[in-house]
Amino acid sequence: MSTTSPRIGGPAERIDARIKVTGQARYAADVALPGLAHAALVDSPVACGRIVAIDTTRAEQAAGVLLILTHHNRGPLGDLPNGDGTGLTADPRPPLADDRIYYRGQLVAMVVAESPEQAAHAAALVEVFYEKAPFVVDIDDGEGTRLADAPRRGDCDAALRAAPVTLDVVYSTPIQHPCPLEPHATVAHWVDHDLVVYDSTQWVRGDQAVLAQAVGLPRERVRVLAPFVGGSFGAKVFTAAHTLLAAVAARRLERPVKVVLRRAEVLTAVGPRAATRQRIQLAAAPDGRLLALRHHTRSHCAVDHGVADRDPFYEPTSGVTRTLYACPAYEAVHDIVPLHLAKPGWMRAPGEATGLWALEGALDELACALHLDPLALRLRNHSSRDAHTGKPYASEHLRECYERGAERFGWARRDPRPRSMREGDAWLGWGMATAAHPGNRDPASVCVRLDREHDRVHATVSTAGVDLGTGMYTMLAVVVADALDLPIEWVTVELGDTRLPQCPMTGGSNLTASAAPAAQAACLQLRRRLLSFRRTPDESVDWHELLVRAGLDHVEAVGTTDARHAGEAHAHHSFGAQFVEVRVVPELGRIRVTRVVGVFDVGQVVDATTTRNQLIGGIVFGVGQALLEQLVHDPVHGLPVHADLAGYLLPTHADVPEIDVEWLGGVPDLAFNSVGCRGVGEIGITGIAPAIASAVHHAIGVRLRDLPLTPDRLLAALAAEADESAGRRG
Amino acid sequence: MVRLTVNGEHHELALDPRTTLLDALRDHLGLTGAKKGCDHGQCGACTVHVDGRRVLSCLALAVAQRGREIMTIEGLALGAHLHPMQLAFIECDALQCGFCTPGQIMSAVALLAEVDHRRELTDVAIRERMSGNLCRCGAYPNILAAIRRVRT
Repeated sequence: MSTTSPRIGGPAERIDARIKVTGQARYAADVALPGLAHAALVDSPVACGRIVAIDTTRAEQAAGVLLILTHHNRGPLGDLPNGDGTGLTADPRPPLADDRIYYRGQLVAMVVAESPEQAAHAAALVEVFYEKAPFVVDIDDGEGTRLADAPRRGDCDAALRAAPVTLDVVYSTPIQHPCPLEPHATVAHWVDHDLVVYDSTQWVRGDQAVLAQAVGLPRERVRVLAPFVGGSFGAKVFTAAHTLLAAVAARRLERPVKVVLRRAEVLTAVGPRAATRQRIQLAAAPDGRLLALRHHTRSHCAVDHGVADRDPFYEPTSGVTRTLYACPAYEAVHDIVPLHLAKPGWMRAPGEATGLWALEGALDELACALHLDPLALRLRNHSSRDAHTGKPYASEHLRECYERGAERFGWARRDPRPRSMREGDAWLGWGMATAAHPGNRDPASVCVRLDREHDRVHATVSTAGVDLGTGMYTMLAVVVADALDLPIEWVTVELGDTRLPQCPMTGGSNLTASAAPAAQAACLQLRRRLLSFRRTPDESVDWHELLVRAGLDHVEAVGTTDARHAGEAHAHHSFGAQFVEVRVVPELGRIRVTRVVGVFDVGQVVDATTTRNQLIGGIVFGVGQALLEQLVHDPVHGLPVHADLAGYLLPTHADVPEIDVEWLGGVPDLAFNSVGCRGVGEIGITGIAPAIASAVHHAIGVRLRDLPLTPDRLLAALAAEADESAGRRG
Repeated sequence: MVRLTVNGEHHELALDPRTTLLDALRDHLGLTGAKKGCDHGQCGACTVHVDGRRVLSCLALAVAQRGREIMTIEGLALGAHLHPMQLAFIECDALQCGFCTPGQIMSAVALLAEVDHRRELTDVAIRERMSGNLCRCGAYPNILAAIRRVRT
């Protein structure tokens, strides 16, 4: 055991690694309780319409069946929190509300049985008869509605008319899915008329609020636990129908009930990243200075479920395009297109990962048109303040990211001409893009307790926040061990339980910036209290001795992080520069990423080990976004063509090259919080897809604007180019 | 009754004949280290060893395992002494959420036994042979580093 304490910024060993490599970490679906009953779900195979009849006779007679819930017998369920910020639900209506169907995959019945096999069998025997209605599942077929929020500055029309150089291009992104490896799972258990729920969620308090309202209990009588969650990436923010129905069934049966979504249900019933069509219009001076940027997005949303949805969701593409580059004229408009699909939700870097795909892609095209180096174009338009609000960034070092990244990658050696690097049967290409993600922070409380043990102390850190694999256990241990000069082995961290102090959802890369300063503040309170028991101000004495002197067996303190407010003088933002090498075999349409360099400005890093892994993970997510992932729906039936992992392709080991990530040191954002940290969970993905497309263009001179960059698209683009040049010759 | 030998222990279980090996391990023996990520053999999170070879336990029926030696992640360590692959995963931080980790480790351990000469296992070969084990968190470079460390 080490006896030195870790320091903020140094590499620690992930403190939950040992229980994870031995299979001892308990996720929601691993929970076993006496008398546990198992649920299976019946989903709608039609995309729109209504249920004419449900026949459960055969299912009820099947072995082991305990209960079948449908809209006929679900019983009363309270209204869901809708727009009040306490919790979020996937559908604005409670599950099994009535006979209406709004999307394929919507839950129409839940079967509970003694065993999972019996439940699955009986679910297959439930006969549902539907009346089908017309539906729309393709964003290009739907009618758009313009959102009122249309940020603008300057006069885009005039600038676009007068500019010497203009560009007008459309970039698209498909429906993609966070698709965490752990399917959503809930175990609901009533204990003395109180509800205890083990759930796969990134927000225990949100779950608690939704469940409490639904089952009609005060929040303190609903406890939600999520000590370990098997990834989420946005998919587990919204409390979903199966969680509410598990609580209903468990109450009815007076037995705990477990429900685990099948992979197909994850992909159809859990909200995806909305599809987008983004038109970017740029006006520029011949030296590359941007004069105007207009960003027109169409993204899809859910159809009207018959009740006002005050938590609608659409892909917020313009958040990043309005702030990133100095540009006197800017305008964004957003049309949302209702589709008969599960309500879209958050997926890693919502808005940034899609908005930058369009903007960075367009900038690469502008660089080519002006014969400028893509990196030089970014530098020419660099802004050290939020370009839209004009607020200066409190800490901003993007130029150093560009410089450092270019150096590590060898960017200076790049010959700008396409088809300039040949290797065997492939063309190599180098591309780059800017990565960006806002600094987010929310109110949080963290309790630190110091217990006197036999001959030393032990610290326990607790907060309701959830570690999704993000490293929160380790980061809080590092902050506390650093602040109290303890070996990290003397620190225990408790997370993911509504009984612990209030903490925001793990989302928007906010948790570290919210919880780490609160933990540090708690430690400072403890230090002050205990140090008051020193005999002289310079006495060297350990915590154990001070607790003895104070006559205490423990001390504890709660530290808090406060809310952001609109009047803040500074903006807080993370940045990065991402460089990619691809290998393209045009005859096969094959694109492989062979090298990635990312350099990031994320403020003070709390723990180097988990930060590196998060940044790498974001980049791998970007490779999936760029090359593989799309959910395609059959326009005739509205069904997903491939609701499994053989069809919805995630990056595998073989798709991922060596990834070189680095962050700038000595750049704490101390105006943001006392640790100076900003989150790192999302920024890694943000520039990868445009950097890959830029590299593909550099490799073979073909511009691809529709994600994912699949072989068929590359071959079609090459064929179109060949036709065009034949036409020119002819 | 179904006889299963798991991590060296013999069990006699009354099982629904439809029960997969994965569900038998998780729901009947309390060995929840192997995970159900897809139930279709597409993610690798359920990987265990059957007679020393890696097997997707969600695609194997429990009743078909009579006479076979099954090993799960819970049986890999010798008491408190972790298997070198488990240690390497910790040292290389080859995980994030941990959900795919038991499957990655079981797959990686079996992989090293699949070749006569471990040094033949180039990075490309390891990546290819590990591609049945998905990691949505994207810890692949660290997983590769961990396997490399044990290989040599």
